Amino acid sequence: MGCIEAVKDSKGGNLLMSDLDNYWKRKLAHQGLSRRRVLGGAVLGGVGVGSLALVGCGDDDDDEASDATPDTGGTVAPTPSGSAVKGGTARFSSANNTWDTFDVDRSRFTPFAVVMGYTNESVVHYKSFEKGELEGGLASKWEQPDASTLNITLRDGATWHNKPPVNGRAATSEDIVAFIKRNKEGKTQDGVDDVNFYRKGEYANVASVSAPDAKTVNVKFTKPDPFFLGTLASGYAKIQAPEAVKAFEKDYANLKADLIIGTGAYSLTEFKAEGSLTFTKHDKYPQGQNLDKIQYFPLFTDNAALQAAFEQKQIDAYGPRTKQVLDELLAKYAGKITNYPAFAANPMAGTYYGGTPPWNNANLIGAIFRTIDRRQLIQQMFQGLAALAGNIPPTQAAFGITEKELITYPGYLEDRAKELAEAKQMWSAGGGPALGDITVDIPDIWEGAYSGVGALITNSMLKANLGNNFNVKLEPYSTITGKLIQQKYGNGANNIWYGWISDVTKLEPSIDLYNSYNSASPQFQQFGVKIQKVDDTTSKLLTELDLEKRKTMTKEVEIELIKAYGAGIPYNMITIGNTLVHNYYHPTENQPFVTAHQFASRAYIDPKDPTYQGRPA
Amino acid sequence: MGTYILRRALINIPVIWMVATVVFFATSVLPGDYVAQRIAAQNPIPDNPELAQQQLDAVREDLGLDDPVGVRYLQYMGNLLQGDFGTSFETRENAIKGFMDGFPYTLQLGIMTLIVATMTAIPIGILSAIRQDTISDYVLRVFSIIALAAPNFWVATMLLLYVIRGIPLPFTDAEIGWTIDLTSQALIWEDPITSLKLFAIPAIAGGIAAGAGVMRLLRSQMLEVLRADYIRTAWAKGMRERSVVVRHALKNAMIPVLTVLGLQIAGLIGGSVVFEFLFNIPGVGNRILRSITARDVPVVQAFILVIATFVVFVNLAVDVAYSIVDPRIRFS
Amino acid sequence: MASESTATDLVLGVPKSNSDRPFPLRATRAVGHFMVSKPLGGFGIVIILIIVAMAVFAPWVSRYDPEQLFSKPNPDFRPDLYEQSLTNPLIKLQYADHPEYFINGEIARPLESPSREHWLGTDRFSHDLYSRIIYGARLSLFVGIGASIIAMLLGTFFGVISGFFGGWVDMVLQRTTDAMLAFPSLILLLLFVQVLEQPNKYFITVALGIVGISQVIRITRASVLATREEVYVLAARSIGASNHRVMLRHILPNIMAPIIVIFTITIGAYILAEAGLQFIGFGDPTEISWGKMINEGRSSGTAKPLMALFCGIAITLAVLGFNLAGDALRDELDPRLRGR
Repeated sequence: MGCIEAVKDSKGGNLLMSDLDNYWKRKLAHQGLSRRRVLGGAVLGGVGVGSLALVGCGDDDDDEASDATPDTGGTVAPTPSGSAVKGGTARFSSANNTWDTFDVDRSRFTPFAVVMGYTNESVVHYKSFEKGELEGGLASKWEQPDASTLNITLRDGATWHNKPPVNGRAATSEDIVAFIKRNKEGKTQDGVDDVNFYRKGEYANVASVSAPDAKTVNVKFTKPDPFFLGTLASGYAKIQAPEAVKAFEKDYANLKADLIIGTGAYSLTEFKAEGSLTFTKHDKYPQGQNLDKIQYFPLFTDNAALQAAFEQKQIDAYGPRTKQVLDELLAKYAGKITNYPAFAANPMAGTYYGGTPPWNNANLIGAIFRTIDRRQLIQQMFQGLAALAGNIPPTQAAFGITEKELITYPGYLEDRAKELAEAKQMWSAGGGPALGDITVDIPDIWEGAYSGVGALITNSMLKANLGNNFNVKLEPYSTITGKLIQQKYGNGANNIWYGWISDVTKLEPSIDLYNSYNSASPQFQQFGVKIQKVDDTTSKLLTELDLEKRKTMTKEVEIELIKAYGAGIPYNMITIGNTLVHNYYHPTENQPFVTAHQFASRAYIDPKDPTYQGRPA
Repeated sequence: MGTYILRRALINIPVIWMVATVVFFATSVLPGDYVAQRIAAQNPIPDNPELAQQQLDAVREDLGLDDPVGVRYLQYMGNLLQGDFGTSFETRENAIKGFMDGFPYTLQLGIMTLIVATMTAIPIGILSAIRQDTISDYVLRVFSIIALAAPNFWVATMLLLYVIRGIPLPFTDAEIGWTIDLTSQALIWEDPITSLKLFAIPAIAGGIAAGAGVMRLLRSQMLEVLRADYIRTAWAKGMRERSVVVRHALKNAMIPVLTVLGLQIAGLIGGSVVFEFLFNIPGVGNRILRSITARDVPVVQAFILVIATFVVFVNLAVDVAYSIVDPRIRFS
Repeated sequence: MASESTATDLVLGVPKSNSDRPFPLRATRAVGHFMVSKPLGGFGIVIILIIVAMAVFAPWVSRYDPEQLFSKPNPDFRPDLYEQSLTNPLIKLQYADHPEYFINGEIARPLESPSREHWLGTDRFSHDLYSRIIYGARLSLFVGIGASIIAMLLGTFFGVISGFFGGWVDMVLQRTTDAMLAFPSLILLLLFVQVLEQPNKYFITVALGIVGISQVIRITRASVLATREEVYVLAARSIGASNHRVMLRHILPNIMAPIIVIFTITIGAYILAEAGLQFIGFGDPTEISWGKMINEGRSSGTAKPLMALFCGIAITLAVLGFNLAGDALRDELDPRLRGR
């Protein structure tokens, strides 16, 4: 299964974007559906990329499931259109997704963004997330005559789906104007501010937007914005028809398939909240698509059933939970299935509040940081299928330090003996033994997915080396979030937690670095570790237009954070997920919701492939 | 008898009410309520705490969770009396709809399990009793107890994976195996063959295990009956063993066994959670498990209420049937 | 035998009866007789004794510390690839089928087959499986016996009261029991376990015990109803014995037989229930539990079935032992069921 030069990517298949959504399902299902993320982009084209979001970045966090059916992530060089075969229905299993609303401007749940990737289009989207290349979605071209103006030309032939009240009319530039205005204002039709317009902050720099003619959109900014194109390319920046928004604004929470009307490759023809979705191709999609239908089956409650369904070709893709199963399937079906590995979306890390005792003591938090044996965890929990991560994980590698440099810092040293010896010294120097019992919160689904990890971290690592009683407490994520907001991990409590943290949703970490670590940011209050250099650099990041300079700055920030033992977020690792696919199915690069459009339009099924035999009709 | 039935039926009503109340308060106490989970699920490190809090409050109000518990309880009771079971948080549909959708699956699995249980328990129980303390007795008893002692979730997983690949029979070229369609979730009247293929393994695994309990009861009942005087008379008359057993002993031994089977029918409605879970059968047990973990409170309440009602009335029916069948039993 | 009793025997010409003999001797003889006449029951008792011994003498019987992690040198380490991966994380993705290329130093040994070093192989986290199975007996016995004791004590208490007093006390208790029985037991357990956030073994034991009370109450009550009308009870009452005394001294001893049988048989059920809870994900995360181990082993499916198999056998044997012993006990204690 050697990969070709570019990383082969998992194919998309499961609507598992938000594994976190299903995290509690995980308890039962142990089904990790992970959202794999492709290795972060190298070059971001166009005028800066990224989004300036100071408030409510509108992320969904996915939690990545350790196993599973993952889908995508990784990159796969898109298949040359010559060999694509038209027709067929692709079948996948759905996760137990959660849905908040069918109004994309007010949603922040990833599964919905995935759906939008099939049904609606953004102005621009990523041609290759791995390479950071943009291409036009609803736009055929865009240009910036000066730093504060953006002109967008609408693509010919863009047509809405044939559903009332839009009824298949042609798309116009007014549609895009309405979209930008709505997100900027963040109000519902009755003029009331709605907190659910999560990405409002990203449009704050827009001074005015207008449509001089039916094919052109003119955007003017108050000041140069390095991140606006990235905003337009993001998973939630999908255009809806203004008359549909007007008609459905009050109904969106009812989650009906008729509410979703887009210009994208597929139309949502069937939807059930428990997970059955059917997408049917949209004939008037100018770029064309291959598959006739995409079908998602409701959740498989147990992983064994999912594996059985995959082996019998009832679904086209499957992510094995453990390496043993991966090896077994690869051996058993050698030559008939292909593996697409990719990095997961959610890093494994912990958090603590470092503003007051006990964790404002570098010796104490440093000792814990160093005692946790990341490499041991990688081996035990993932059988080696993970990579070390610092505060900028490998999925954003272009902006972070290399592993080579990372392993020179405490916490990541290869010399475990030295690491442990120094950690123990730090612990006593900081007065660790006097702390008494320490509670380590573990999310219940994390323990469910990796049964035994809690005991591994607390008994085998922390307690065995530092001596105190480290107790595992299983908590649902809602409790952990609540405690985070109230600064309860630390701040007088001998408490810390480890698990999946928010997923990486952008190519560039700049905005998130500011939000998490800059003392002026509201999110900072959960971590409270003020580092002057970090404050200065992250503030500069937000207005720096030169990409290379930003990369240098993010690396500097990361080094400061690692030296401060994570500065509130001690990172461990990011996992590698595998997705197995039958050879008759040809996936494309699938960066969950960011390039879902690609999956939709470029993936195909080849009935002439020998493995197609035996696939249920 | 009539008054007895009436009295019991009337008393069942406060019982059901008690169940409903307990469930209501128990589900209100579940840590991590639905809303918090949903919001947190998406964002364990919230970008903006105030925004997160606002969001939480808005959704809670929308779902009607912001009133104090007492008020909600009265609303709940009031709605129940009008036949409104509430709205599911997840699917936004009637909370009882999930039950109606899932019941056919649970029913099918339950009936198939019961058939297997009866078909294994009765012959083994009889055989074991009439050959008491012989090798066959021992073998049968050990076998049936192993069937119920083995952890069913593991047995079922292995069976599933091996059957779809085909279990080779030793010393032959033949294989036991068949395709199991896990995506269409067919019911027996929709697609009999596919459905049977799917339900076969859980029915057999569950049936043999359930049958073990019935078999032991039958065996001890048979042993008791076989020592009765009228049996001795039959022997003395020279009747053949088979007639003695079937015509005299079995009928009398079956009475308590039927009671137990009746109680198993009552249990049937709750569904076999483990097998439904493993084989992706969207039955009642599977759905209620998911609803509990998802904290979809209205659905949990509705399901438990329906199940409880069913169980208490089936118990009543079983008690009555028992007293009809066995003239020696009467109730005070 | 003591010489004076022998002398007395001969003097009186009456052979000494078994009841005169000292209790330990009687007990041994009874057990011995039991094991011979009911070989299956004897087999069950042997299994129980072995498992209890495993649990009690775990530190001596097990081979290693159950939490000890094992590793071995990594022959497949590829320094060249490793060097590359330090600057280019994509390399790791390219070789995702062979993560061992990148592990510099010792490598974990999950799910190994039985060997001289590890009699039953290793588990998913490279612990010695044999040692963990030994220690796992502790939790299973704790929960199984503990829950059974709780159910027996509380169930007998309420059952006796219910059957003895009758009237509205009986009615209230019976209907409450009905209500509890009306919940499918798994659901009841789940609700219990969910209500308290941290499922530790004490809590689970109590919860299981409470769920099982209703069955004990039913059986106790039925026996009490029968015994209540017996002559000796009426006799005791007629001489003015208090309710309290009647219940304790007269009724209770005569209903012990079915209660003991239920106690033994349900231990097996509770062990399985605890394993089932772990399967669903509700259980103490740090205890070594057979159920949790089966679940961990199950995640590797047919690829490495041995871990789940061995743990499954452990649970099966434990449940088998208690059930066989309980069955035989019932056969023995119920005079109607003795062999022909």
